[in-house]
Amino acid sequence: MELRGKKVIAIGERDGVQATAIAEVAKSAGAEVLLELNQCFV
Amino acid sequence: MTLDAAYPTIRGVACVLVHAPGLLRYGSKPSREIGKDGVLSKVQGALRSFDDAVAYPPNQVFIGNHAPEALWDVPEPWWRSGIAGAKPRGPFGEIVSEDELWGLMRLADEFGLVRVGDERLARARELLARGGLWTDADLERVVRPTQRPAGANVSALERSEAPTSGGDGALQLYAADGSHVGSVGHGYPDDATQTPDVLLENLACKASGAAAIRSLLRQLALDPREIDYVLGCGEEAVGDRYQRGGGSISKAMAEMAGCALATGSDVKAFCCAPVHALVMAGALVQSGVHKSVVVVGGGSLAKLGMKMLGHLAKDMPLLEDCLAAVAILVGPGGASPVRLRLDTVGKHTVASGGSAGAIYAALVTAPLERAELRLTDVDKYAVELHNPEITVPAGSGNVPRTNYRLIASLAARRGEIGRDEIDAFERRHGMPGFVPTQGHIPAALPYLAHALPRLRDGTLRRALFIAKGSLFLGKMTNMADGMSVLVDRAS
Amino acid sequence: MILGAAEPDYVEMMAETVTAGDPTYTGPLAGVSLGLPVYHVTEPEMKALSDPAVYRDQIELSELAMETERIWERVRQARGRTETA
Repeated sequence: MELRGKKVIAIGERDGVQATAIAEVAKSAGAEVLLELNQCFV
Repeated sequence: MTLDAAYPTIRGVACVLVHAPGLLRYGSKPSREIGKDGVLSKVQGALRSFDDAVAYPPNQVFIGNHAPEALWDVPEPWWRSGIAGAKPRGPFGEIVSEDELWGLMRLADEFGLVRVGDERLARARELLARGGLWTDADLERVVRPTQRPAGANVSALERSEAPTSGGDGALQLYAADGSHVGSVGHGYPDDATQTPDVLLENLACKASGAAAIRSLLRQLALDPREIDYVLGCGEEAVGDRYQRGGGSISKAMAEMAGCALATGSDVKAFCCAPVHALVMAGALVQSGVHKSVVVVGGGSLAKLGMKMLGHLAKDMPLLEDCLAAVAILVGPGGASPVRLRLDTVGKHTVASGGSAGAIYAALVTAPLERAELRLTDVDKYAVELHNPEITVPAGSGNVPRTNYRLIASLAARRGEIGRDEIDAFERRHGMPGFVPTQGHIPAALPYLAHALPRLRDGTLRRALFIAKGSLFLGKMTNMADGMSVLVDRAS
Repeated sequence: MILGAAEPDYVEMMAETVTAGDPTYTGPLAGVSLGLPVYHVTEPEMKALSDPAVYRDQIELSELAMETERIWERVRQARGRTETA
């Protein structure tokens, strides 16, 4: 599995891992983040 | 007993539930599902009676007849463990019936928007009189004839059948048993922000919030004219097409509650607003601008029946059938040992970022370090106290538990507890969720009602109130928000 | 797709939705198989590919608090179905 050069959609949850955190991680692995979405279930 | 005038104090908290099973069909999720085949009859079949809502253990906790921690020992499912002899009044709250709700809606209505049949209004008036929260003048207003909107074709409005309405048709109101109650009309013609469903939502919020203020005033034996300022912290939007979120439902509530010498404004920060508002109320009092500030959050009609699909799938009653409202009075310190620690406010900033580590550093570690406290020095953390019996069957998890695990993990990372103590943290420093899923209402503050007597008698030293807000839902930012404040006992 | 939800049931539902199709058959992706590779941000594969300092700052606390085993089980199941399809 490789992330470098791949495109990523990050779907986070407010009380889980938020989308911006996922995006930081993905970017640090060389991915391009297309979309950051957060969900809240309450 | 040491007193401390360097901080404002909490003088009282009131927690009110308004049982509204008939309005559940107009919650956001139900209104989108009810058009589908067979859903309405399933919903009708799963509504709870007033007695069941009163006996429901989390609701008894909400009004103060039991401590939140008592729920650990109540056999699950809680909805099958109704408390025998449960009363609709508690030390700091009450559960209002749907029969009374129709009267409260008429009381909240200044524009002839709400029509309710005379018999139901007479019944509401009688019950509201017995409940003892309202004045004789209020009770007269409950049964006053609805003023006809000028030039309106009234009979067409009254007969229109739209279950939801985008045009000028009225929204029909039904009781829990499906019988017709009346209707809610449209505001300004051709104003999409004043459709009957929007006005219904705002009136329900106003009515429940004002009821919470009245409950608070009665609890403290306070003249309503003692209140200087009312800070709203709900998530409704009051306005018209030129100013959709104009606001100040707080002042409308103050008027309905008889607080003739108050003005008000609304704090808007999604579910984080209550803690923002509590801090602001404290700051207004401590600076001497006002002496008595009420923080109030009205109920959220939009959230009724939010998790209905999960409940129906599991043959559960529809537990999201109550509008929940909270009112808190903040006053000058010095006469009470309870302190609202304005020097320990945790804030989540724009730069904080979205990682759990950064969020909890801002909301927990930073303020506690300022107060020279360890995480384990806080007796109780009040987080978002959503009732897990509502959220878990719908796949939305146990929100308080998730938050307690995060705080515990933080404590473990700091070496204050062992990793093997993370699970036990919620029992030691937390509580089961017990609050209806009404957005800003579960945001920490209902626990303040329980904490207050314990802070006064010394069985609790300090509690940290943490709220979070999902700002990203409004599509203006991807950020969340958070704020925390410590409430403790001078020693 | 990289997911961050804390609840295993929810992770499973989202992973299914972007692979085989919406398991609840209620949304616009009902019956649509996107077959997208889906991971949870706490999975060892994600950790191995990321900058360790970034991963530690962004994910570590959440990872400690989540039921990672159950989450990984669910997302691997959904991924397994795509890989064999």
